[in-house]
Amino acid sequence: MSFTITCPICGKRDLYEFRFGGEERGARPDYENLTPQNWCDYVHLRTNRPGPQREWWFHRDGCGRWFTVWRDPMTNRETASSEATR
Amino acid sequence: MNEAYRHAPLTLPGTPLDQVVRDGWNVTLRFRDEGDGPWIVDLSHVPKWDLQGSALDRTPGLEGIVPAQPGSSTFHEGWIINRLNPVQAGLWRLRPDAPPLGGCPRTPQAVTPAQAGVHQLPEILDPRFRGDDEWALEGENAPFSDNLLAPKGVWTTDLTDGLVLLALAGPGALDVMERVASLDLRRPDISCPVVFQGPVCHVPTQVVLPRREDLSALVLLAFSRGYGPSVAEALLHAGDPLGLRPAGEERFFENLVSQ
Amino acid sequence: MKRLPHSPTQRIDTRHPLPFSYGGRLLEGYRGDTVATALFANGVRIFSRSLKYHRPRGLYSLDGESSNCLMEIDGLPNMRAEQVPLRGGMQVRPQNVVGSPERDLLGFLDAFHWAMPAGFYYRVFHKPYRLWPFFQTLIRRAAGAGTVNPSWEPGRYDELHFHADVCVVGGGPAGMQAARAAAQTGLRVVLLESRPWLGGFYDWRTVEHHGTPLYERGRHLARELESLSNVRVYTSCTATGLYGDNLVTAVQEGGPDDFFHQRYLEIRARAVVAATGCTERPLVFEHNERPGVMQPGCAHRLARTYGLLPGTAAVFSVGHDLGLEAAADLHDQGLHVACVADCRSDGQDPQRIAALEERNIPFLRGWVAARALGKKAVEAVVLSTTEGSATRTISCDVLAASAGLTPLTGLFSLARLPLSYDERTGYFLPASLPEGLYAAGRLVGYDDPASIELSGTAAGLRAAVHCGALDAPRADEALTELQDNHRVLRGSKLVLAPGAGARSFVCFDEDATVKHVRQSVRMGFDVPELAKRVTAIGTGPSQSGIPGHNLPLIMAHLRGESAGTLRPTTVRPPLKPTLLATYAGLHPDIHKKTPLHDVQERAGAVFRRVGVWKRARYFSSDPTCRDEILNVRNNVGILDGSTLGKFRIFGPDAEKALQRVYVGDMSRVPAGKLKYSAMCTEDGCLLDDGVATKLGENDYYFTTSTGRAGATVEWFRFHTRHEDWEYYLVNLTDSLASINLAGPKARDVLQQLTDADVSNDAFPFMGYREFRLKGLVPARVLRLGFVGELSYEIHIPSSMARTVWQWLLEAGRPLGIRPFGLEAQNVLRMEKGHVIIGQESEIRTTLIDLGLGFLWDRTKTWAKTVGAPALQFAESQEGRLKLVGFLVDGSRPPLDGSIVVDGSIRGHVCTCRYSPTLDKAIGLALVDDDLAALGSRLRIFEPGDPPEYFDARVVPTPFYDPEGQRMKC
Repeated sequence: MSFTITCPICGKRDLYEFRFGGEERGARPDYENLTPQNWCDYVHLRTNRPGPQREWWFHRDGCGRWFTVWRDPMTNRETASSEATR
Repeated sequence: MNEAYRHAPLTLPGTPLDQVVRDGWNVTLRFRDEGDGPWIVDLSHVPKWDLQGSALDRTPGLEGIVPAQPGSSTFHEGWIINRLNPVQAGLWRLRPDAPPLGGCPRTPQAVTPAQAGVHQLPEILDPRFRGDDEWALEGENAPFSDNLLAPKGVWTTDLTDGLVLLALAGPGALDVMERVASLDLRRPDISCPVVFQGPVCHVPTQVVLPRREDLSALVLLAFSRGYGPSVAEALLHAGDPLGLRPAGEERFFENLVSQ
Repeated sequence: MKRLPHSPTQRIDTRHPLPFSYGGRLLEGYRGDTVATALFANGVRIFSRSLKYHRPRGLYSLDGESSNCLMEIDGLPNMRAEQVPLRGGMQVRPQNVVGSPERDLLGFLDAFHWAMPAGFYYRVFHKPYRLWPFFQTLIRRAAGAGTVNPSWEPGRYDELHFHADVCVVGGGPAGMQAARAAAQTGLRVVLLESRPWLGGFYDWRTVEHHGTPLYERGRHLARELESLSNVRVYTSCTATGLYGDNLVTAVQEGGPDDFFHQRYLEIRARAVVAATGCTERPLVFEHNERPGVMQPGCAHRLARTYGLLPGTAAVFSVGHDLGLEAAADLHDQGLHVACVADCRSDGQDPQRIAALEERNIPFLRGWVAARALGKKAVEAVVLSTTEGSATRTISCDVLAASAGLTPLTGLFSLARLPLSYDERTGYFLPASLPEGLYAAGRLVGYDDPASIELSGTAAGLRAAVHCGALDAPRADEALTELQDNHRVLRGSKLVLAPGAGARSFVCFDEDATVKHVRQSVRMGFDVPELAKRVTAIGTGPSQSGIPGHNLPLIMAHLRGESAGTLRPTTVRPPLKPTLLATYAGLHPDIHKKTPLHDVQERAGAVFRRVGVWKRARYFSSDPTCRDEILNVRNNVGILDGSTLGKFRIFGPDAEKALQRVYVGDMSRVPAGKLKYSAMCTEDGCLLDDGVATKLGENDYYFTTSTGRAGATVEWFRFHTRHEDWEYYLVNLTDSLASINLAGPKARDVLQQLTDADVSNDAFPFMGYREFRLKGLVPARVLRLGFVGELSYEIHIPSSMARTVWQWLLEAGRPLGIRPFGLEAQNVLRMEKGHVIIGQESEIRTTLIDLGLGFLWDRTKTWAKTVGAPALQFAESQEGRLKLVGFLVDGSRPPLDGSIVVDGSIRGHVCTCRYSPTLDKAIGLALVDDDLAALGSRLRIFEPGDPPEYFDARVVPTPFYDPEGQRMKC
């Protein structure tokens, strides 16, 4: 498998320079009134839709920053521009 | 102490002809049989600082010196400054005679326990000491002027020992790079000096290109100290058919001459 | 054999003869020859014997479509002799024969072909099953091609990684025009060509186009291209893979002046142009693979490129005008052409027919070769009408045969594009191409020089538009001109010669015939993907080079269906067989060494890889490290702990970040003291542990384990990615070396190196101090107790580590100081019941399972600490594994990883050693919670040959110095 990811600092690079951080699903839930079920869902469940999704990627072999991209796992191509976090 | 008590992360193969002790380091100025290039030079003794904060461009004393755009590098009076991302830059003092980065405030004081007889060290990793009892807080070896407290939001850490710094110079330097990295160093739409961050020999590296004409390219590679010996060996092996030979600091400065 | 007189199309240099050996004979060729052409020049006609039937095989093609010419060259088996350039001194040996290719003792197998139908590998030899091992040995010896020589020296393998805007695959006229068009817009272009020179199918042709012989035009285009500075040309370079986002991989053969044997290229391109051209579609008739049967193009090139006449008397059975041209040209070169049969009933170029008439060469329209006669080589051919209504037998020793052309669609297959049948050309081609991939030339069916070159230009321009270097209208112009004024060829549709059956070979590599395909269809394996697997067609070294597009055509024909009903099977990378050494390439051993590596090596350390690092395991030949261990307990030892993760974290929100990832309360990390805490995964499982201290306002220093250091910044940033916190991290793991000075005499050693007060009152256990060693080296000193003795972890700048190490050894010499390694440390800490992450924990082991629940501050829910909810839920779970200490009945310790059993698996041994300190065999194990009570009996099973059982009981930990007096004094 080989595709590219566009890092906001370094530009387009090989897939293998990065680590995949999973689907973007929002901030951490409140810890009050958590049940084992909703904690497990937060940690392990993914939407898994066959279409573009917003994902987190880490540029492990490069600038060492986390950022998001929109990518379609059906084609492995990015579909919109990526954005940086701090 | 006039002997060298600091050791480089690696030793390039070859017979040193000319050496000098500087800041505790044994620096090789020239090797025997350096050849006509390309050359590999170990510059690990060069002082290096990490600078992080929210207002880098506006750091007093560094205004207009720290490049605004991540991926850009600038030369400034013997220093090279690499902008790595919106909140981080690297400062390398390439020339031993480079003046301090003027007006830049020092880092905040470390808090030490109130114990009798324990020396207070303002910057634990600062190589400005010269082996005397006191820190050389002022004078020509101070990288920053000793004034002002650190402004809110700017912090430096000494990385001299943490990073290996190697230079590849001369004709064929970029051809050596093509064998150890898949970074697009030759892309036409960027202007030098430029800094790439990506894998070289599979090791995350900062690749600074002051110049990249085919006949006189200059490539600086900075990466984690522990990888020094194996990456140097890998570079020498990859560059061997192209004539890559170890060279001393003098050769590096010759190649740096326009900066 | 004498060569033809020199002509400008020839690529050999008769001024440079090259000697080589073949099967014990000393022969000679010329520079420019391949091994196969040099052998041919020396009269070799049988090059190998086929895999199954050991039928004689000869020179059929010059581009490696078949495995007829696989030979052992200079110790390397399975080299394609027709593609290996001849070098002086080469040692060439035939393969897969008992005796010689001319007289192979296994040749009798061919007579038993009827006993080896399709799929017989799967159905014979294993009933009854006990016979299988016997037959397996026999088959392995008889089958396969070539023998690997384990002591072969690999030589030098180069690799290149670079970027280009346009990558053109194929250096024929279309490819060259595409490269030129793209290069003229200023883009960076790379051109890959399999043969040693550019020119494609122009290279050996003397027919003229606009007054210029094609070979001249080809060389002119090549010279122009090679002079452009923004074009990189690689010849003898075959594209072997095409991956996502236009990543092209290729393998280049080293020439006599190159320093490498083979070179691997990896090219990231923005656009790829496929201009790979065509090969000749094999004609399938009885005995169609006899030595002497060859592609018409092969016959033509033998003469025009290598100066060799393919034989003395030839018959041609062609399906394309190139075959007609070859016949006339070879006649002019001195070959007697007895007859030319063309399976097409019409559509030939009148000029080609006229050329044959002028030379009095009989021409048969609508005729085809049906049978080759001759045992070891062609002696005559039976020609037949395509319907089989009439036949004619003609003597010859060369039969140049093909059914037409097949496009080389390998790249499309790699791009996972489904192929569909085109009615006009008879080709299988993709219906559409994705963005960024373009095709040109003969590959897509163009047949005359003008169309081919224009299609190349159009593809190059479209690639340039894709890269943003050109406006679309410029490219559209060329495309419109192409579509309006140029047509693709009408290809030959012949599938099988009449009477093709049991001796008509569909796949030369696997000795599979038309009869086998029929058997396969009858068995129900009636699509190419299934037929391929049951008959082995296409699974040989040439990966469908011969069967290619023939297989689906033949199967549709046998099923009585129209030509495009079935599709060719997929091909996979590498498109050309590649040495593993080429993929290994430069393969440097990249690892990390600590600043104290060399001094430890000189002291006799034995190193082991721990993750990316090399670390000293022990310092003597005693694997129990008894002396090292006792020295730490009784005197003082030093250990290189430099791989330990060390970090500075600072900024207004640094404390918040620490609270997020550490389970403890990080709000009161004191200055001058160390706080020990742990990080967990979101499942509450132990991930990392370390200590932290405060350096200043919003400024901290903390440590992590060796294994997690590289991922620490990533971890912090990931778990705070939705926050707006301002904090900064600096990884100081490599900046600072760490020396662990441990043992009752540790203070005595340290005292000699500093004026600072290091008495227990001034510097107690869990304290943190900064002072200078010998007034020079700045040190951060941490008092911890991993090995359970008085110890100081000394962090100094890495460049000064060697100096400090020597100082410590000097100061400690009268006290008996010795270095110790990881194994000794392992035993020492085990005696204290201290955990090593990954050894005493698995990925599913929580903090609480390990007895470290006290580290967790459950009140700080506002911090949303990673893993805290899971710790809460796991706290009350039953049936979890717990960490316990155990004492073995007896002195031999079971191996790490041994299993705790009582009818079922109840846990496992994490670490177990014979403790020299306590003179007992003790260990730590993870066991089911109902076995965790003190005094429980454990039965341990150690796998082995023979396996062994041990008895033990659960005892309290620490085993040694339970009150911790030694490390707190």
